[in-house]
Formats: sequence, structure tokens, C-alpha cells
Amino acid sequence: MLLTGNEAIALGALKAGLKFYAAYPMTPATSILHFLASHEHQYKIIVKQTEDEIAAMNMVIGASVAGARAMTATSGGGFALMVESLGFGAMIETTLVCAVVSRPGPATGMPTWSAQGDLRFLTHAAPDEFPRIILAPGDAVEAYQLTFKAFNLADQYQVPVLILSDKLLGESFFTVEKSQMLEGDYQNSKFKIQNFNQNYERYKVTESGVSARSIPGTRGHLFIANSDEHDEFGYSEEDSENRVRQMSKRMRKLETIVKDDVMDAPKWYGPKNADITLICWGSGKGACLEVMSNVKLVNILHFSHIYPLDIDRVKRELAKIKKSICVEANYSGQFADYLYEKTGFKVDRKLCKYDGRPWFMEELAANVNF
Amino acid sequence: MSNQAQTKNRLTISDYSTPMIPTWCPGCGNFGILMALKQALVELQIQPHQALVVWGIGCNSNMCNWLNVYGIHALHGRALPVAAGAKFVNPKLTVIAIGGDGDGYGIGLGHFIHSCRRNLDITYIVHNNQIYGLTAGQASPTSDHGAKTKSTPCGVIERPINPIALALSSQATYIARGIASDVAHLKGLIMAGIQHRGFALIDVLQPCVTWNKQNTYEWVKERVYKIEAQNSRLKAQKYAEEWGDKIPVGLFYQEERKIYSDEFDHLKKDECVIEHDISQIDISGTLEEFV
Repeated sequence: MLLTGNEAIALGALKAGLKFYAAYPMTPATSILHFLASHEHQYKIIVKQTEDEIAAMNMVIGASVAGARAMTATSGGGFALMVESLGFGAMIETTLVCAVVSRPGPATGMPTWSAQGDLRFLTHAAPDEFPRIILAPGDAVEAYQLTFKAFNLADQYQVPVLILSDKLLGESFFTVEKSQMLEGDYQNSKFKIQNFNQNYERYKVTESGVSARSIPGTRGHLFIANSDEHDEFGYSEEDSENRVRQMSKRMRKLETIVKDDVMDAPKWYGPKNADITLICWGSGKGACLEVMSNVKLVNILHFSHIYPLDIDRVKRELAKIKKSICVEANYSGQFADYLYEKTGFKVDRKLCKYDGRPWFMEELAANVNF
Repeated sequence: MSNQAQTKNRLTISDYSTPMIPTWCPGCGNFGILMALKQALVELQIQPHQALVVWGIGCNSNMCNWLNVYGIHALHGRALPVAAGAKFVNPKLTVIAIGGDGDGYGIGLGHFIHSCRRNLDITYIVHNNQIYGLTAGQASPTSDHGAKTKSTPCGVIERPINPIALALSSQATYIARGIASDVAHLKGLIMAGIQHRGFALIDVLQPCVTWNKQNTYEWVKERVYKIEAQNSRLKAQKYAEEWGDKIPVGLFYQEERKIYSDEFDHLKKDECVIEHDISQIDISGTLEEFV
């Protein structure tokens, strides 16, 4: 079958049990809204076009707190408007999913063209620090599977999960096998409520950082989802020890996520002992695969599980590289720098393209040399 | 016997109280609003676990710590969309949004207007003290023309927002104004707002004893007079325009209209999508739509 990356994201969300989708139109993410709106009846979901991106993100947060699988999608500029609310979602440990389909920026930039310039923005978006997960699919099948996975991870760890795509992936057509679009096991961690009618601690400090979640309407399990720093019950609390307890509890989830082995290793494509390895992430996969199969004797290391990075595992894979070229669609080589920051691995060359056009096989092939 | 049992099970004010002690200034109008809200919840016998109250940010919103319900203390200006998201997926909850004049008529003004025209079944209480209290005394969108505040030492130049007129022109279906010092009257407005099926605005004149020395309890008392419910938009508009020596309080306008979700033709009335079984979603039919 023939479908776009955006349609694959929408299908992954439907399969995962999406019940509420709110968004403000923004190219190139809008076709997710269109697809879901046209399937609202069939799947008995609620799709809401909002007055702005801030409303979209906050409605998604309200729906998530209330117990629905909820999602929004936008592009870089819209995501900028959502950022304060993203931090709010993280502070109250709700389960939101947001897809960012990038285009060249800043500001209005080039709305109908493509870029991978929002990686650093997503890894750091919103004041102070909080755990988040970032997944960057490389093709339509991965877009479907990782969106499905995003909902499970959000439920399991009660953190925002961001799907980082771009115009190239979102609006290009891919040929895929139907069978690949039907996979996926549903997991649900939403209703792990213990100690019925006891003093319920929504933000109980645990070893994993994850606490049992109740939803409004449940008798005996009241809590406050509080954007202020709060204690175990959700009451506003600025005591220094409490702050450290709650901050460490939230941040500890990043270690738990890595320990639980849910952040897949980067994938190898091509011959094992190639002299040159193309490192790429997200939508960069397509052009690199084409170069590999048609032109040069290279192999590829593709990253789709971006944040948090399973550093030991990634280092083991990076150690297999002889010479590396990192291929990206942004100005500074954001992923290459991210890799260096996290692992100390320095790529031998960066190939950065930022004219809004995708990497073409011929130009990439011509540049794959030392 | 049954009466006794009923009396025993009857909710009281203490069921809505938490162990926390309010930190509002002595004499703050917020105390009256909190009391009126609690009394309204008692009178309507709404179970604490069936109420979801969403606050923005402001002195008023610190109330989240002192009301025993499911609470969301959201961001500045963003209570309404959060409340909408929750109400969309679980219409069984009694959803109330609470904020201040800066929160709802300043930074969150866009959400306010769209919530009026959206007409979800949400009650919105605005603590309108015509000043920024939490940030210690700057002008607010409802500060009177000429009001001298820390950020406007020579007086506010802009004209104030008229929330009642704005709600009316934005198609809200229940529009009321109360005052913090008349708890019994305010309780009635809040109760009727909760019972109203649709978006209900209750703007409350709430004197700030610390930062607003102009719009005091006396200032309010000298000016207000009570009006009865209107079902004529024109009459309501006339009352809405009145602000100065005379300030009308009470119900300005009420209209029975379908709420947003009544017009869904794919969901039953008040259907909770969170109750749907999502463990075995079959998308194979949708895949057939593709080439």
C-alpha cells in the first residue's frame, strides 16, 4: 500500500487507542488533522481544531489527565507556542503524545519545505529540566510503529513523548506491506491504583520514578495535578527537601527508561566491515539507503530512538565504525554534536544540508568520500 | 430511619476542605468566593471525586490547595482549554474552571472568547479584583481608566475589558456577575451556573485589600444593585454596558442551547470516550482505503 508518513502517524495513533486529538493547522503537520477528522466517526474519537497551538496542547493535557489517550501535532513554530504547556504536562506527569513535523525556520521560514533543524529544540524545550522521550522515525513503517509505541511509553512512564518527523517524511509517499501496519501489542499502565481508600499519593516517591495514577471520577483517589512544585499528594510545596525529592523522582525516569530497555539500539544497514559509515537519524534514512544500495560501499547506522540515549549501547555500536560521516538536514550538524555530547564520539565529517530540499542520492554520493 | 441515613451520608462543607490553611491576606475577597463555591457544591451534593476543578495562576488559583476535589492547577491563562479537554472525554465530571482577571481576560483572553462560543458544559468563575495581586500590584485588563498601579504610576491609559459584554457578544449561554462579600447571592449564581447545561461565566467583583485601594468593599457596596435573569439579548446588553456609579449584579443572560458535544452525530449524549475499550482496535478496514 501507498501512504505518507503523516498518515502512518495517524494510523499508529488510531491503533494505539487515540480518543482525543486537538490541533491547530500548520504545514506540514496538517494532514494528520485531516486524516483523523475524516475517521472521527469510524473510530468514535474526538478531533478538535483549536483557536491556537497553546489551546491544543492544553486540551490534550486535560484529556490525558482525565484518562484518554490524547495527542496533538504541529510544526516547529506551533511547537514553540506549546512549549510552556509541555513543561506543565511533564510537571504533573501526565501522558501526552506530540508529533512535530519540521520545516525550515526560524519564524515562518519555508513552510512547504523540509528540515531537521528542531532536534536541539525538542531535547531542551521548556524551562528547567524534565524527562521526555523523543522518537524519530525513518520511514512510514517506523512512523506507524513508533507512534503506537509512543502511547505505550507515555502511559508506562507518565512523560511527554515527542515524535520528531519532518516535511520529507510526513508528506512523501512510501510503499509498505499491509502486514507491517497491523503489528503492535497494546499495553496499559493507566489504572494501577493500589491502597483503595487509603491516603492516596499520586506523586509518591518511588525507585523507578513512576507513581500509580488515578483518574478524576475515581472515589477515594483525589489529587491535585499541580504546575507548582508539589508534594506526594499534589499540594503546593516549596520546601527544599521536597523539591529535591520530587525533582529527582521525575528525572529518575530517564534512567528507568534506559534500564527497561525500551530505547532500541541504532540500526545497521549494509555490509558489516564497510570503510565508511553514514550516521543518520529520522528521515535521513531514505537517502542514505539509496546511496548504499546504488553507489558506494558504505554502511549505515540509523537512529530512531533519540532521547534518552542508551549511552553504553550506542557506544558499543559506534566502536564498530572505521570512518564516519553524519548526514543531516540542518546547519550545524545537531545530531553529530548531540552524539559527541552524550558519548564523546566525534564524527569524522558532517554533511549538512539546509536549503529546504531533501538530500538527493547523487549529491550525497558525490560527497561520500574523504 | 431512612432520613437519618440520608442525613448521615449528606455531604457537608468539611467534605470539601483540605488539611491546608489558606495563605490569602486577611480580608481577601477570595475567602468569600471559596465559601460560596463550597456551599454551592454542598447544596448540589456533588461528590468531591466527581468534581474536576481547573485553576489558572493567580492568588485565587492557590485555592487548589484548599478545596477537596480532583484539581488541576494549570498554567497562567490556560485553565479553560485544560478544562475543555477533560470535559470532552469525560462529560460525567462536573467541570469548573477558576481564574482571575489577568489570567482570564489578559493572557487567556483568546481561550475565554472561544470557550463562550464553544459552549461546553463548563462553569467559569473569574475572581475579578481589577489588579494583579500575586505579582504584587500591577494594572490588569479590568483596571479602571486612570487607575494608578505600580506599573502605571500615572494611571492606566487603556479602557478596561468588559467581560459581561464580551461574553454576550461571544455567544455565552449563562452570564452572571456576583460580589465576593455577598456569599449567599454568589452561591446561588454558582449553583445555577453549574446546573446550567452550557458554558457559564460568573464574573465576581473581588476586592484586593492589599494592592487595590480604589475598588474596595465600600466602593463595590456603594455601586451594586441586583438584577433578575434576562432572556433578551438587547436588555442584557444594556445592563452589560453599565459600569460606574451603578454596577448591576446578578444573572445578565441565560439561554438554553445545545452544548458542543450534543452536535456530535457519532457519539451518544454525554458518552464518555474514556470508557471505550481500546485494547483491540482493528485498523485493517482503514488500510483498505489506501492504494
